[in-house]
Amino acid sequence: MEDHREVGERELVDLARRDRAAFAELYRRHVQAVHGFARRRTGSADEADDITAVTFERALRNLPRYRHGEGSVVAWLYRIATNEIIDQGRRRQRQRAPRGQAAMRLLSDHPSPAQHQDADSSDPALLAALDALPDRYNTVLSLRFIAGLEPAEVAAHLGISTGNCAVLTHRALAALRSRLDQGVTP
Amino acid sequence: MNDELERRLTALGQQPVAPLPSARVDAIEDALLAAAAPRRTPARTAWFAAAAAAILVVAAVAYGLQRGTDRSLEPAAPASTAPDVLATIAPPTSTTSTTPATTLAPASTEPLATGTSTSAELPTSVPTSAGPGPTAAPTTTPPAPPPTTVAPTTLPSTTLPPGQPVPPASFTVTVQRVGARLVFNWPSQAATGGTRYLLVRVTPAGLLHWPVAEARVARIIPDINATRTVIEKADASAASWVLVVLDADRQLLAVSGVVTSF
Repeated sequence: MEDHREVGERELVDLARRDRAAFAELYRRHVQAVHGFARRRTGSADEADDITAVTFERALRNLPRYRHGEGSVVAWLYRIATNEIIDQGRRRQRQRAPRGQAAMRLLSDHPSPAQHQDADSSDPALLAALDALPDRYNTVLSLRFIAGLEPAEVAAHLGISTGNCAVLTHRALAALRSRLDQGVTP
Repeated sequence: MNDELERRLTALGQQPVAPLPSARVDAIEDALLAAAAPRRTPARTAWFAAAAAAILVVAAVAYGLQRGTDRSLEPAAPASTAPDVLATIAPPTSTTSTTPATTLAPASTEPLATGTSTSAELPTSVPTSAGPGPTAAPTTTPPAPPPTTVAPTTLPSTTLPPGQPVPPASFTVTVQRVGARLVFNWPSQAATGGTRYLLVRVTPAGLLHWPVAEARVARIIPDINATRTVIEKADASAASWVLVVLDADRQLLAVSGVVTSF
């Protein structure tokens, strides 16, 4: 297998579109960053593990559509992970519907996802409030603060101007504060 | 006010977390690379498969129409013999027309089989020849068909059946750690009419949708009478699992409750 460890990021992405070994190197470079982000954002080791796997599977599938102008690869991976976190949150909500709850009761010896999430997180109230936000607000705050991306990079990934990104961030923070004040629980 | 919120969010983003264990990093990588392999199928092969499927559908429809017309013209008296004649004619036509379609079904499971067997090297790994595929079709064509020539015709995983509702858990799986291995036991689900089991890694919420990402499939157990499987997992971090029962078309028939290993 060819060694891609010395290859620059941009070239590696181009190689990874057609070369499995290059994709493996890309994965190795960013897996811990993506996992760390998912872990902090979900507060759960299990969910982070799952989201990391799904993120790279989606990245593999969508790499041909990735464009360098959209920002760094790791930011793109954070975006995929954020989308997956939002999707999982939505599926959890469906599980909490009466029919879903009946199924969950069958698994009585197991903690509910919300309980589990709270168990690992240092700020469960904040995570729960983030989960309750509209997707766009959730995404912008997750990328900007939890992933630690620069505003310009967040804007590039959301396909908006930096000015619009600042406005979106401001509104998202206001919405988050409102959720926290209401005492939103997961 | 927002400054304080920003501080909280930033602190959350800088919270130290344990890295993903290297065994899990390797397992995900193995699954990714195994899943990547069939996607390298040349586009031409996919076109051939699509064209062949279209021709088969047209042939099947034409045959169905012809058969319906024949029947509508049958007098009442010989009705008892006519179906026999049709039945004797039908098998060669239907087997030749359905053979490619049925051979595709097990092929689509190949990436999973190879992926999982590389991610968890165990004696109980899935033999590709033991897959619950079509019964007679492969035996009619095999003047030495090497399995490797079958692989390029595998369908990409994106051709999995569309999302299915996940039924409630209907049986229990137990898990026990034995050294670096996890031993799973369950009651046989042969009565469901399924043909195989998949051991799937899930979140504690369980199986929320089907199909799942291939990277989550830890093991395929092609024997519906099996009641036990073993995987390697050296790290003792908590992990949640379900066992699902599938039929030959990869339709989800039954799901176990979530079991957690440590």
